Amino acid sequence: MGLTHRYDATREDLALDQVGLTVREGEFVAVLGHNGSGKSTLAKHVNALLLPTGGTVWVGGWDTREQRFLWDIRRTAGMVFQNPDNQLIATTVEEDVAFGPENLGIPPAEIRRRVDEALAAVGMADFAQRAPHLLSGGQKQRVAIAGILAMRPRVIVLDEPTAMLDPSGRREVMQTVQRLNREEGITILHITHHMDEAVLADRVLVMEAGRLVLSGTPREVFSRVEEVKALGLDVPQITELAAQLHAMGLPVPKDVLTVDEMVTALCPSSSTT
Amino acid sequence: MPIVVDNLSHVYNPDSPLEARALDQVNLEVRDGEFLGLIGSTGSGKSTLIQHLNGLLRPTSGRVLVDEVEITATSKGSLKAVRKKVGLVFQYPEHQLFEETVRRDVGFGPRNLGLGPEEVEERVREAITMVGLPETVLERSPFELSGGQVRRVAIAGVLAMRPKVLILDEPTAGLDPRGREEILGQVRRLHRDFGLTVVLVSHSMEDVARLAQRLVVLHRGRVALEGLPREVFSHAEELTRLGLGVPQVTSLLQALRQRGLPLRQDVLTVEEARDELARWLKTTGRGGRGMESA
Repeated sequence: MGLTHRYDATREDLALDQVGLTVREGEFVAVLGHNGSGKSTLAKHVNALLLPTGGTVWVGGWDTREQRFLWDIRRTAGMVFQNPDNQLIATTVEEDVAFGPENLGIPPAEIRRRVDEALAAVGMADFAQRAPHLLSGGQKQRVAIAGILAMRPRVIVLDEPTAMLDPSGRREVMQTVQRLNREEGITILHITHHMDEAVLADRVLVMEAGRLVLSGTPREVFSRVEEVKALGLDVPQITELAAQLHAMGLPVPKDVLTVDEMVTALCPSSSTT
Repeated sequence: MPIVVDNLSHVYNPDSPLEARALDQVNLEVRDGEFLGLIGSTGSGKSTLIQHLNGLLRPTSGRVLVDEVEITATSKGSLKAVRKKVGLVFQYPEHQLFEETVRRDVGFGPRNLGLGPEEVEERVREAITMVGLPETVLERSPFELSGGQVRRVAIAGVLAMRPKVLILDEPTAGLDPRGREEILGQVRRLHRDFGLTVVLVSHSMEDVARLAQRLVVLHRGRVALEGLPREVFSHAEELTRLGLGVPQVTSLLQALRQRGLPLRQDVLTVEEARDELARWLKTTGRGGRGMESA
């Protein structure tokens, strides 16, 4: 299922300015950009929380401005937000996950099946009876993701879901997101300030002043170290290190993205023997 | 002005089904003038601990000594004096801004101390300068400022109390890389140029590795590790088990070392890693253009 977003307008203070973009079905796209660059505005157009003032957004074949498609769109594209405490409402984890399907009027037996599947998919099946407020930040976000999975979405939009999490919470959430993308084929739009998370994506988009200014594979985008930094962003520590060694004329590729790649680049013997 | 934490335990909702021991016999010292990093996973007790350092919470048992003032479960010493000396910047401090102008907001604490208008104004100007913002922002609404700026205003509100110790709970959470750098650079200057003792709570291993002089790692209400960042980050496996990690470059050098390469494994920053790898690449004859032409 593709998603196309086009925005046309001429006002000065545009949050989004003529963005044209297609996200392919099953793609994992990371969106970067500093605060106020339009990332969240873009994300909210994907499930019709915001409607374009110019241009059109299609989710699947649905034009988000057409009111009759609203619930189809919301069910198809779910959103996870930054603060895990603002998203959970019920007194137990399973009730929370059931909230969405209940609102859709789905029969109880089907809800039960969906809740169990969704909790299993995020690795939280053992916590079904627990109280959400007693979970860790990473666990809360996984429950929030499960709540969306229970709606059987094709797209999940995550708006800085790890910003408030500790390192293990971040690892949990990113492993879950990657698994849903690879094994369930769910399209992911992941907004983040963490460059090491963007490295996991198929494609990285960089927003600046409401425009899409860079787009490419993580390797293509992050190898442009200076350009990325000029946009007020970072590159992963490892990429920065590789670029500096490369600039010194040392035999290190300048587009290294992960620790493992760097280990292989520096001791090739260890991977061939 | 050191802060001494002596056998501190804190139990929430004691003698109820919700009883939770947040801190369990914690001993530590915040030394005069140091930059201390405090790390630990969610629920490890960091927030509970820092609220004891400025008298917002009282120990269930044990004690906290702030500049000779002893805080225990029942002590009578003045907590107000403690709060003046130890400033605490909460997470998402901008949520606590409510005045119409930056001037009113930063002056809120001093006004509450009962200071006269001139003294308040002097402190407001001093504080806004300390966080590197121009005095022209004083007339503006806090809500018109960027994420990094508004957070600096919140820090200025704490600095206007002229604390000797500044505690920051995840001051960069939710900021973009530029805003993060803006805040951390400012915190570093407050430590270096104004001699403030700083306690930085952070989930970013890269940031504490770069900034802190000493680290304390909390886990389930206890001090799990403590020492120089170099020492603490040499325990990579243990840190991962505690729900934390090490900076990417530290993890790279440790991986290379495990493969038998003669490299230091205690590097903390990109610059240190670059220098160490460049030195090694040159000794292996894989040196760069500079070496070949020499």
